[in-house]
Amino acid sequence: MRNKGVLLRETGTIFLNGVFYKNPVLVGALGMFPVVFAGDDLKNAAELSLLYFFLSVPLSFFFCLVGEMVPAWIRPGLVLASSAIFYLPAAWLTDKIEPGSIASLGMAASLMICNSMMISRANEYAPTHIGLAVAADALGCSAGFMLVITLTVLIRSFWKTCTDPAGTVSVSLPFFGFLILGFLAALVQGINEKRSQKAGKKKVTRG
Amino acid sequence: MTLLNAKAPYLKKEASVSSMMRDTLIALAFLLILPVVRYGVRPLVMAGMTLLVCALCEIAWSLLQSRSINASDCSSMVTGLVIVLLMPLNAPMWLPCAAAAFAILVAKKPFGSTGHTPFNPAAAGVAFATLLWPQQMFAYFNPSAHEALPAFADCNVGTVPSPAAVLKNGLKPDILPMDMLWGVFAGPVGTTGILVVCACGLYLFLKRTANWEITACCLLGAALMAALWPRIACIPLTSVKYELMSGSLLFCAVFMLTDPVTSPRTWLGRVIYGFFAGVLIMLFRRYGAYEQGAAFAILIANAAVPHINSLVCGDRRWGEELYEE
Amino acid sequence: MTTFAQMMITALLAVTTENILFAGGVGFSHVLRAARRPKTLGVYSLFVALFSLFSAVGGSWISAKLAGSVFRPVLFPSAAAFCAALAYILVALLLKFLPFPFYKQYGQVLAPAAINTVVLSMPFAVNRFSLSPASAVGYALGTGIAFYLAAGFFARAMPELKNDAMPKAFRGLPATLLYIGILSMAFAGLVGTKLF
Repeated sequence: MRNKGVLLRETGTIFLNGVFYKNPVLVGALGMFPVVFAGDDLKNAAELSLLYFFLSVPLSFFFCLVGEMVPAWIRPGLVLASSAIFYLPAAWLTDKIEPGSIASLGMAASLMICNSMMISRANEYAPTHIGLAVAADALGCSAGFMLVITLTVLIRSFWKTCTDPAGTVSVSLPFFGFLILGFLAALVQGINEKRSQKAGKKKVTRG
Repeated sequence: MTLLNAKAPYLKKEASVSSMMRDTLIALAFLLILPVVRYGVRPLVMAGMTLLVCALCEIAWSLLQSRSINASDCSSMVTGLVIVLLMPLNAPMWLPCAAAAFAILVAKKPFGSTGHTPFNPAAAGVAFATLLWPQQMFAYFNPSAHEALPAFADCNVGTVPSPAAVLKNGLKPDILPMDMLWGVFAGPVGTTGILVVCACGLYLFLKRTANWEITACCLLGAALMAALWPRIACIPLTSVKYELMSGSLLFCAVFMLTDPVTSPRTWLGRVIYGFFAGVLIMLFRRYGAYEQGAAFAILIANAAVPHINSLVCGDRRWGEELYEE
Repeated sequence: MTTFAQMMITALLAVTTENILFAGGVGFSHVLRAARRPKTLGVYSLFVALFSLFSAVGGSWISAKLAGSVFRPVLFPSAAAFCAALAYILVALLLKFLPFPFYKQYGQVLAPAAINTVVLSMPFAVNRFSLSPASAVGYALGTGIAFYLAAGFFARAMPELKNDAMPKAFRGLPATLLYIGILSMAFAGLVGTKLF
């Protein structure tokens, strides 16, 4: 019973890490392109988040099952090939939910196949962890990706409403996305810093 | 023998950061005199408001970081004033303020403030304003029209293309050489008075606040580009004259490229850097999306500085000890 | 001579006005990772150029095959990525069984280079894949050079983006992202607001 409790707590921690504390975009600098390039419209953000979810969850599960059977040197190639195959049903599902989304997303959707966040999780994390941890990680990363892209869209939209309409085109350019990501990453790093300080203090008082 | 890689700015003993900044501020303030005499107090109001925004940003950042405010550091004032001088005088008051806020809060403070900025903050601020508000950045009033400019309110005056815009369209600007020297043509407020910019540059070089080799090599690079690949159908000398005297090239070569924090440490490095920046500015003018690309070119040149340093010094271990005994 | 000029122009465009790394913000995760290992940067970029050439040729072929299909927007990127994966496996296999220890030394950059190539070639692949052989070589060369330059910039700049004077919250990645943002802004001044 106690073990079950510990497992659930650890699963929760893995999920929360993916969402915020070790967010792959803001802490790992992974998968930034969709955020900076297409993160200027809530519709885009929702479609990309769905696509990421439909693609990363089965891919991670697949490599959780077969990852260790494959030699390490061949695995990256296999992950990329599997991602290319899983992309087809994922794109179909996303298009079914939001008709016309894949065509309108264009390159941002296509590049999801080789999204570094997803590829690295499937290649490095999934083969060496148990199913529950992989599920929590995949869901956490999906939620984390959604959080970052939504925040980026909201900041860009806020800027667009405040500024001269002529300048709104530039707000959608990647540079603006990178600047937003920089400040969001600083926010997460600042919070993590405070948490580790607090944890350090607690340890000292207990000691 | 131990030779250490000290942190920028690399100053001689007698010069301190504050004295250097003071000299630069004096030189920049001189550039405001001519516009004030000609067009009234608007340049002063614009500068005052931008400097106020710079100070407020500094205070806000210090409060957020729970750090004391360094009153002797005038670098933010220099950044603010450079930004104002690169704006059209008829620009709305919020434009230089927004550019200055970006320069301080995004390009300066997060990187560790003076001495650690990888990019010239003023260049970053101007580049940001150019990308976001290009219409306001390149709408210049006609100085020959003798229209009165309000001190505080937005200007509703007619605009004319600047010589830089005329050159971008492949045409020859129709301006008398004397007018170009005295700044009687459309352009950013502090960059048109070529003679005053030269005098201020001379003052900074004599005071050793700025390195002359950067400015000279930048102008040489730009002049060579203008002579070899002129944008207008004319003799090379005319092309060089118009390219060097129009836009913000000269101003940027004197005040922005010579920033000791973002320029190389050695003489040879500064020569390479200046020449590279001059060529880049001309490439931006020719192929860039905007009539003036000096701010963008400076940012790329700044990014190349660590490489130039390593190329010249041969130090593969940046930030560590170069030689040990 | 014309072929050579065409190749050089495509290479120059890939480094400057069509620099998809800085202006488009594509593939920065890989650039930052490559910058952390400056010693392997040359080989990494060489692989990027090599795989880019494969993908340019393969992409043209796949594009021609799928020209009439309504499923092209979905099938094309998938097929291109699949081909890149196959190319990686073949090259890795070849290098692994070579008598000299090349794979041992540089094998770790092979996979990221292959994946990165898919990332870097996708904008061209999705939007306008109609490169002539000379342009394909030029494009591959330019992509390799652009990657080398970008990663080289960061290899030198990254240690400086962790200095003690910085607020703790900005040290490291946040400052790096701001650095990328400002540099990308400079390239936007060259390219303007039109992307790809």
